[in-house]
Amino acid sequence: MKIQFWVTRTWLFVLSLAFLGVTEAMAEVKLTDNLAVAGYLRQELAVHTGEKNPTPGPWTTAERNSLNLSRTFFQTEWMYNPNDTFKVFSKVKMLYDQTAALDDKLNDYNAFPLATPRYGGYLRATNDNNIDVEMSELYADASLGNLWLRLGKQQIVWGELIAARILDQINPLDLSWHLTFEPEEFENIRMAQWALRARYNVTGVTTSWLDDIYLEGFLNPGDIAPTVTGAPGSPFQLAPASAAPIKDRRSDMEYGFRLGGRIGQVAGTLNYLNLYSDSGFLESGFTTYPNTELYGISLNYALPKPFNTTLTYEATYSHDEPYYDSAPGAPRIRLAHTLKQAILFGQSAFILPQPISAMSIQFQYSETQIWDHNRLKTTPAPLTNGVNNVSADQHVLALILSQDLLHNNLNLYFQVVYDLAGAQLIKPGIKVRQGNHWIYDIYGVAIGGSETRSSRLGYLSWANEIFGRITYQF
Amino acid sequence: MDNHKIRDLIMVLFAFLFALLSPRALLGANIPSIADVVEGKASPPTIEDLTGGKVKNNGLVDKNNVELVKNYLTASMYESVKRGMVLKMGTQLPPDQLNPKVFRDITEKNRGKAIIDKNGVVYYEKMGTLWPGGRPFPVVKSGVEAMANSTFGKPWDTYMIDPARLCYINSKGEIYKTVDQTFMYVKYTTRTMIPPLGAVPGSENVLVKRIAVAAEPREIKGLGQFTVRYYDPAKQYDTGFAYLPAFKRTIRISATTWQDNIAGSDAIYGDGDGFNEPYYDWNLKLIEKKFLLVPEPKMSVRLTDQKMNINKDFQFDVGKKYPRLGWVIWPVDVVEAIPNYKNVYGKRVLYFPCWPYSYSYSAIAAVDIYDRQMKLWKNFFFIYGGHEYLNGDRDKPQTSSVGALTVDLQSEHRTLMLYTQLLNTNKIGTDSLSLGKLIEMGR
Repeated sequence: MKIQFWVTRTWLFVLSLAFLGVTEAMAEVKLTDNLAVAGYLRQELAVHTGEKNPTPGPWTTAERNSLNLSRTFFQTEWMYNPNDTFKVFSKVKMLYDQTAALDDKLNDYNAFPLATPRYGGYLRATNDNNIDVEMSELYADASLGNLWLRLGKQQIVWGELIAARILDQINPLDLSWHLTFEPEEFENIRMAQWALRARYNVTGVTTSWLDDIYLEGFLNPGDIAPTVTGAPGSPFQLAPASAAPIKDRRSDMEYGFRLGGRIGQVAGTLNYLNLYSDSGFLESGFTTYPNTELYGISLNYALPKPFNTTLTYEATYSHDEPYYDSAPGAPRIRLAHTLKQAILFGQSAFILPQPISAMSIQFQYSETQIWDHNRLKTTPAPLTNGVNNVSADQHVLALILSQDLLHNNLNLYFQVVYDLAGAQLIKPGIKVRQGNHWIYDIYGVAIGGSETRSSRLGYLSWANEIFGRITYQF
Repeated sequence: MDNHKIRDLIMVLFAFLFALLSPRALLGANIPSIADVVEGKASPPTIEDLTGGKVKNNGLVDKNNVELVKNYLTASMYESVKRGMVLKMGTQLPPDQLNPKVFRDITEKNRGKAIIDKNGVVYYEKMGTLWPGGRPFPVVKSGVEAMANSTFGKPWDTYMIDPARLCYINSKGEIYKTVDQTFMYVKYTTRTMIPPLGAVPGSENVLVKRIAVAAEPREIKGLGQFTVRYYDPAKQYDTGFAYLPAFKRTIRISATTWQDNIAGSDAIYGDGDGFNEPYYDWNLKLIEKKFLLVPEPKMSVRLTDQKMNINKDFQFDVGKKYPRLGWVIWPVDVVEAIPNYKNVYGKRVLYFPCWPYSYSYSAIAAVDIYDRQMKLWKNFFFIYGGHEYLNGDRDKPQTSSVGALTVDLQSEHRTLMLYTQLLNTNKIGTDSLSLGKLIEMGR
């Protein structure tokens, strides 16, 4: 274990402790009547329990790494709210990654792959393998009667489902540091982008059966970025380093719009998204990001007594989802019709003898149907059945149980995701809250199964881990 | 003196002695009837009247003398006093200082014109005609009428609380955590104070829309709900959505959410207003009318400052378990409510102050809550005392609530909710509350 790094990074801890001292007795800190700051200091540690990462990379030895992650987070959220019409929000992060320093099985690697000059639009002040300082979100809201606008670097989330991104496609993900294992799913890994978002509430058409009609749209004028995966040598490296030059999409445009509302007890949206693929595709010697159009729908409904169950359905259809052409030869992109859909059942049920807190029960079935699957593959490598071939359909079940106890000071969590082709993820967790400030949580991630193709859940079994977090929030 | 006269004299002396030992017998004639009080023929009796002077009008009730006032306490309040709560006898206000004149006038104008269907929905003179506003049943004759008053007879068209602070208090009387929330309610029918009066065109089927959003701590900041309660909840059940800031998603929620606790507190969402769930599937029975000690309508000392910090001059008993509030005698209707379906509660006993002695926020002053085994579980009551004049208009007095206390008598944990209530505020209107607004307020 390399210890001297603690000395060279002392400033981060001194700053954090100073901040802690100021905020010990406070929740949100009001700097002025209109400006407040909240945030947290967190230490996260993930102990690797799976096999060695099979991805070719600059590994020090043939042994598996002991740690997947050791990282300190100091995140502040600044809110300027001078009146009911206008608001400015900013999220500033200071991150310090100690994973390689603490694990002899790992070479030093770039823990923050986005910290390169090419990503200056991300408001990152650093270009360091282990330290990151960035303003990850910065936007202004304006509420002008029925019109609401948000302009700036933001996350735009459409969709209501768990453990699946069907309509939630707008922002790319930062999978480099913890894949999708974070308990908050995507909030901490969704990459904010510069965009304009607008929603208009349509009034005057409300009737006894039609209500809450709105039009919403977004425009990203050119801040297009792909999903980021772990850098070479990272515990979460997913693909070998590519030497192919990149034809990125920066300065190209992404946009989308939706119509939402309620008819009786059924609420829903109709969506159109014009996006660029978050994953790069190798073609003609370049890594490129094809354009995709998505047509989507969401519907939700609540069944009354005695069922007391909510139903949510979400689907997207694309006629030009990119894959690789399975025919031999140089890698080529092939576009295919793809339908993704899911239905979620949700219920709050009192299962304890003394009915104080309800258990949240969510069960979801999702499927993907791909036309012409026999002509497709998921990687540029030659087609190998069981490795990169594409199935006509994929079926996944997900179950999430969450139970609060002791006045929400304790939360028990259990998630299981099952790919019917033969893979599963099991994720139990416990969270303890102490007072207003301290939160301790620990989770296990156990992925396994016979379905190990690179695009499927079972492929990630090498990443299994137990991780815990200590958080001080203010 | 012959034996006759001696015997008569002894009987007179005996009767006089009996009267002296039984103050009620002598003073009974001075306690007005509830009917006389609600008709304005008499003022409510004081605690001195009711206890024969044993508890003074500026005195205290604690565990040492609680037996003297047991008949004027709710069952759960009696328990709380035995465990250390102290009641200060407070300041009465006359009825014309409790609610806006326009609301009182419309109540009188519409007196006798309310009809009620089998599900407890109120209409005006004939089924299907919406109730225009005012208290439907100034004199309650059944449990359903009392609940109908609470649901269809609110003197506010909007209200906002920003923030409400929930203080979680352990068995030692220590506040160990707090949660801040914002609440916004807008009525769409039975409107009397803010135009459009009566019903909002296009929304005649809606009774009220609500948004509740957590403001602190940071982990749950932005966690919120948007719900719609319809005019006839038996025909159209509640529509609800929640926003989960950790996932940046909105999800649909079901009607059982009313039974879940508010942010882990001792109160459930259905405890809002005293009884916030649809009541068509509850058995409601008017048990009795009686005089009861209820929170005073106007506090002399504020409980909190504008930032919801507890006023250090405000007295508490047993650590922070019980704020020492002022109490007055009002006539109340006592209603027993038992659910016809499986509910987290086995029974509620609700105490509705009789009109015109009624607060502006809720028609309910206090609730005894029983568990499924019918054991006394919780003591719930509103803290009133936020007396004010709307926009300074002396014809529009309002008695708002400044808090609520929910005591879990079985676990000795309690939640004290503190807030400043803006009743009939123009800060929110009929276009203010929507799913979009919930997302705007989210993180």
